[in-house]
Amino acid sequence: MLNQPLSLTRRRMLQVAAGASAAGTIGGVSFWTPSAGAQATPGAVPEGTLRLSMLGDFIPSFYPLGTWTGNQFLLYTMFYSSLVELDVNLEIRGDLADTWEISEDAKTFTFKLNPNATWHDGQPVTSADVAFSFKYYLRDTASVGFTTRLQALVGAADFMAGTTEELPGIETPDPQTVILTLTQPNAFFIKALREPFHFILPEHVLGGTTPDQMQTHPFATSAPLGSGPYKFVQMLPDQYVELDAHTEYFRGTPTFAKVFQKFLPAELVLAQLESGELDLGLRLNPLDYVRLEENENLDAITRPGVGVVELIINNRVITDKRIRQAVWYAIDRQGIVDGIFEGRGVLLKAPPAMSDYEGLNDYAYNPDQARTLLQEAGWDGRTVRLIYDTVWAGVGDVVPIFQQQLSDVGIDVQLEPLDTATWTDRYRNQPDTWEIAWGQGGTEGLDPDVSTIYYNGNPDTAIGFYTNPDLEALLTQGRALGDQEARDEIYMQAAKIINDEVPVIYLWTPFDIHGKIKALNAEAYPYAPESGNGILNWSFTS
Amino acid sequence: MGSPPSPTPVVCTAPEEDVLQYIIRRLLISIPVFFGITAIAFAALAAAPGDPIYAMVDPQALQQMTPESIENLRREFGLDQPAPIRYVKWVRELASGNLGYSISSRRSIEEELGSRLGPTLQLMGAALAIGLVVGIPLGMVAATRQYSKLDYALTVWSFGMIAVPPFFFGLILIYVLGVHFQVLPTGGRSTLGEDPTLVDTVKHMIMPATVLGLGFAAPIMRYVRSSMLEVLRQDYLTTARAKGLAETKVLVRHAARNGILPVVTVIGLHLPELVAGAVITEQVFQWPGMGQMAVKAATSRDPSLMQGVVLVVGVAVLVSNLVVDIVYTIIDPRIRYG
Repeated sequence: MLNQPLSLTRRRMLQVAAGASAAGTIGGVSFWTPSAGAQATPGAVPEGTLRLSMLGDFIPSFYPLGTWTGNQFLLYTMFYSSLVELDVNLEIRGDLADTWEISEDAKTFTFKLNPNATWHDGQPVTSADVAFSFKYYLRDTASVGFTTRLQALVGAADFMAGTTEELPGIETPDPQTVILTLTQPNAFFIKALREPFHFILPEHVLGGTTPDQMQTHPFATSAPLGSGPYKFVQMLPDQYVELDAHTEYFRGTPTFAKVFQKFLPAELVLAQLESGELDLGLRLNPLDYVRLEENENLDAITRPGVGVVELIINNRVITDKRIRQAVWYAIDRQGIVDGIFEGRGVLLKAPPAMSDYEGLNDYAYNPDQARTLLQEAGWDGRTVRLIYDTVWAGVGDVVPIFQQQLSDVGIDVQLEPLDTATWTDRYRNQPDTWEIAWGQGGTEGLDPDVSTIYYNGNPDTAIGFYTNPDLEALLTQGRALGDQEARDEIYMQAAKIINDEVPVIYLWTPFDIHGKIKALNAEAYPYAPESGNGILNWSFTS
Repeated sequence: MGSPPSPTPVVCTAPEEDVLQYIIRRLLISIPVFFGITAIAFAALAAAPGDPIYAMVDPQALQQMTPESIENLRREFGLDQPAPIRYVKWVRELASGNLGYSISSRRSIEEELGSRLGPTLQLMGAALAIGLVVGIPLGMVAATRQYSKLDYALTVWSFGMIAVPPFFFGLILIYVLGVHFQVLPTGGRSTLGEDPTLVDTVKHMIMPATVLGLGFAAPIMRYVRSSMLEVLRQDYLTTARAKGLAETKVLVRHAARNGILPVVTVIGLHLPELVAGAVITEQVFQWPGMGQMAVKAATSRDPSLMQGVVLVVGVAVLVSNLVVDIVYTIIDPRIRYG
């Protein structure tokens, strides 16, 4: 039995997001207040120790822009604050910001900060810290790619070029007010502020340093200072990070006295849940589900994630869209999801946040159709190379099935298992060494807007090297719109292009599998690393 | 019929002097060998497909980075230079005692190595001790009872230990002792948030040290058994027995001294592992040692970290080979270097 109702489709998730947006734009001026929850009982005392773990790498750097892995993001959600964050239903709620307001033209965003917010050393968090952080990030030349959202601020280009110290796009009229102004309208800029590249840094600690010192600065390596519900105690490399409750936390008293974020090899996560050494394991191997279910002390949590499993086609080599469509038809996706992942995957027709629009071809398994298309396209029967990264859970079970099913329609596939660094290098820099690349992960399910980073119009870096001015224009247009219906109209057109042109074969959105002990009340987020946002609401039952 | 006495006595130089000269010569040879090792390791990592920057940056973030910002990042880590130049730079910095810093952990290599060497020495030392304590007596017992049921049982056991991969044995131990009976922690080196105590460390070390120790014990047992069998047939043992010595004395005093000589070679081969750690076992038991770090260095294509590992392991191999050769001259008078 699945704990999560299957009715939570992409469409439903979109509606949830849409609800938030619609409620906020009544009368042209938008108001939000923090969602309910996240307010602990006054006078409560933190108690107990939470031990949690998430599969995946952790780079022991605490500078949010340096690099980030899912485990760093998970830590940051407990340790740092951002202006706003997502709740478990993907609605925006306040973090440092108590309230905010979006102007009618979707260009100006005014935030009122919580006056009680303090750093872990007791200093107040003010609008000056916000301005300092965003300016600091914009000056980080090694991480320019991370700051694309902030580059939309008025004056960002000149500020980054170093010609001026002024950044008119950020104003701080008083210690509790931050006004951000964009050059182009973008209602969903607010959602981007939840990304890990927008955590607020302490000016009183980092003022006087420059971003290029952050690679080896003690703040980044051993002594970070945040303003979230939990403060840093110590990190043991490849063992754990130890956090203590920040009892003066401005949004409520943390429930746990201590939190340990453990870095465990895949082999140990389930064993430690079973042995009582771990309370919450995020992103388990999907094949561990049965063992979790069978254990009477453990709960299996499963829900559709926001990621995607996809076959990226090398559009420079496979230029005929009929061949790309044939590949999609040739794969029995439902059979694979049912047979290997026991139904825990949602089949897609387009990028996850655009897959539920009307009028998209579902590419249901149809080998005859695939053969017909290949014949029409004059397929030359050459061998195609499928590159994949072996760290992705279940990939080794799935690719031989692809190989078999594609061979049935006349496409010979050569499987090429690679490690992460090699996969990325081949995928990005050696386009003549592959025809199909298995891609997995991402957060495209959060919003159609996320897909614009993959269809960026640059023939060297766009996904599958696919460019299409019509598609890119639509995505840019959609990004600027605040009205949900107008957005849907635009993104539906974009989805139809992608669905027909098949630059990428969108296979399915995998369900995330999480495990926890029954005595812990906790929720996992659609994007698992963000789960720490909900930690104030978690607790142990006695 | 004896050979006629030599007209002039052979002049023997003091053995100490011989050994000293030998050590100096070996040390001098070690220098080019050392550069060879580090250069090959550097070249191998540089030639490995993949790019450290790509291993470091999340794919979704990478998608948003411009080629210029990737180049900036590369420059910041000094990865924009060709490999030979980077190697020369590394050697130059090494001469001034600077090992650089890890691009994946951002910590200095000294710090990385320092935090890993202790745990690895601890684990591998315990494992080697287990290997010797279990392997030597079992080998002797198997030899003295050749073709008995016990000998066959030990032979089956030792081949089993050699054949079963350590990660599999490790997972079985984790499941039985950690999950089912819950008598030992499944991984890590210390209880969360507590300063390590001896008892706590030992508890965390039992399972990984057992896996590794029995892995050492099996080949040691095989070596001791075959070498003892050879020794047991020697005439001098018959002489010892003929003198009326008790069998245990014959075995322990006379046979064992020669019988366990090959163990020195086996230990010598394993000495570098004392600092190199055990890649798979450390991974399975989340033991923060050199082996675990070496895996990380390789998967993240982290040049300076990898060079740090190679440096330590390379020196360990050279030193342990030298030590073994010298020890041989002491324990086996038949061997002379000159």
